[in-house]
Amino acid sequence: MQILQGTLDLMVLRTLATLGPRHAYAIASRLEQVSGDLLRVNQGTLYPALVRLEQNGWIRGSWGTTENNREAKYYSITRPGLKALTEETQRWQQVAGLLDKLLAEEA
Amino acid sequence: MFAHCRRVLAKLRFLLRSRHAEEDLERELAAHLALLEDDLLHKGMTRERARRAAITKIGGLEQTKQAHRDERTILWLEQTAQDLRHACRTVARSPGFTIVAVITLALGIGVNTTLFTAYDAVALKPLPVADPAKVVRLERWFTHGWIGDMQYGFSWQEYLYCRQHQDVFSDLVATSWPVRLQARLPGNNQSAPMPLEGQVVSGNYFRTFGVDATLGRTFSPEEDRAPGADPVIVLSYAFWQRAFHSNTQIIGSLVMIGGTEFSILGVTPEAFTGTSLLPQVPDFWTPASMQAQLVPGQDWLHQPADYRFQILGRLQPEAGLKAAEAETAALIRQFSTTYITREPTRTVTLQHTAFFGNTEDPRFETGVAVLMLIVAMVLFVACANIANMLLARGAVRQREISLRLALGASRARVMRQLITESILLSLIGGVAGCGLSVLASRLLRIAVAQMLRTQLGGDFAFSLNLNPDARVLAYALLLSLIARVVFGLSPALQFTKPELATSIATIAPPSVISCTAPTCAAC
Repeated sequence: MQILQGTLDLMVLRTLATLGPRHAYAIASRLEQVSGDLLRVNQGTLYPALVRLEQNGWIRGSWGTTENNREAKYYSITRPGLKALTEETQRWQQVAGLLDKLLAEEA
Repeated sequence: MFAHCRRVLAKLRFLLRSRHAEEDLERELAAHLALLEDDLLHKGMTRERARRAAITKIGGLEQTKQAHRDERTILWLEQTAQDLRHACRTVARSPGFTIVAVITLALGIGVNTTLFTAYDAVALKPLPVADPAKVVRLERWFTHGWIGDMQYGFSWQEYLYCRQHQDVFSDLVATSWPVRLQARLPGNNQSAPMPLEGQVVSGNYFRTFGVDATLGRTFSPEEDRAPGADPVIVLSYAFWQRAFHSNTQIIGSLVMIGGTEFSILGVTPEAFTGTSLLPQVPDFWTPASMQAQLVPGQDWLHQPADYRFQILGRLQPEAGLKAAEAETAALIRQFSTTYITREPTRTVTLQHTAFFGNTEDPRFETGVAVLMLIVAMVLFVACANIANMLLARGAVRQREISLRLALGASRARVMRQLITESILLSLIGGVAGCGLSVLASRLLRIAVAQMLRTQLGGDFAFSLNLNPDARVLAYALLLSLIARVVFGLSPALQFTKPELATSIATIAPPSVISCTAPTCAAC
């Protein structure tokens, strides 16, 4: 399944808000797992999304070590990020609700 | 909006720390790969297979990096920075060429900018008064078609008539041409009188132009009421420096001119170099009520056709130039049909004030245009020379460029690189040219002042301001960019012509480019 344009940012924010600080690999695995392996997260879209969110000031990255003692860059959501998450969620729900209604009527 | 600004800032920050960001990403991707590999190992793969599977799964690393870069930075800015760095290296690699090119350009641009500086000072720089954009000078047009400085001449009676009847100016000012007088300065009564250049002006002169004294005070309209009642003068800064060595004690001292003792009221600021049509700072100003005392035996104030004064006006804030012009012309025509029989005036125009009069005269403009064209040719020849040098160098550059084209750079990208290079070259030339022109303008100023001094004689303060202003700098910048287009474009077009085969053949033996793949379509 292809990721709908613009929704990856929201997914990443939600994941970080739920799970706390995570590295990129964990975020990708989590998304694939939640989707029941329907979603294939391409690194070529994930990394740009991370840098975009970081530049917006919504997440912050810092280097740490995993439980297996490997280094990894951990991303955590910031306060403006939480605010953006709420707003974006609302907007998404509006759009999704509208689409649902529209599709139901058409059927 | 806020997030957007923040993002641009972040991009700029990343741009500056591009190497750091690149290393960080490299590290992050390596970590990603390692974690993936760990997981696969965990699932029971051998190390070798896990590694290969991880690499397959993570996909094109280079593509990911490029996507990250594109997202991270402002692409065009980064490319420009790259181009600039490369251009700096190229320019530095051939210092001989660079020096010759820069000197050639600097000469071309310098000569042009110097001429423009002079034109700017003469015709474009406003008078050194408050809000000069609103100040205009009256110019009359005779039915006989006479032109010249006399077009700025008006009689005192005309001035009074206009001032009474007009309602488009917040104030009208009359100022005589400088008049040369013999004066005895305070403190050396015994010595011979000294020649001074003075101007007779209406009492509102300093107030209208917003000129406050730097020492003492200036005179006001109240001191221009009763004839002969207020023998006062205000000194120019240049004269005060020259004749009194900036002595602050001279306020109130008496200067003997034409048998009357005039008291020194004050000194104008250094920046106020007068409003004359001549590039000369007057030595002093005196109210018009003192004209008979200043020049005994002459009456400048009562003859309706004695054109002794220039009239300048400050337009009311809401008054349009055209309407003001129409009204002034009507007033002067009225006056001249009533009181003047000879040399009828056809109309009056209002001129935005510059140092010289008649800068709107087509003859003056033609002269300037011809001069400009001549010096423009100098620049053009300079550009042609540089273009030739660039083409001669092309033999070397051609290989480099063909190689870059062959490696997949687009023609536009290579053109951009070459253009950046020539812009860099032309800007260095422009800056050098500016420096040259500042020096040349100084020399010019000294030369012209010297010439006028020998011609007019005596001590003389030259008022023309030849310091470069924003206009001059903009002009030099424009010239260097035009020069760049002229000398840079044709080589750039020439070099990037897609005749790859021939150029490539000269850079490498055929064995390197012929491939060994049996299925290659090109072989």
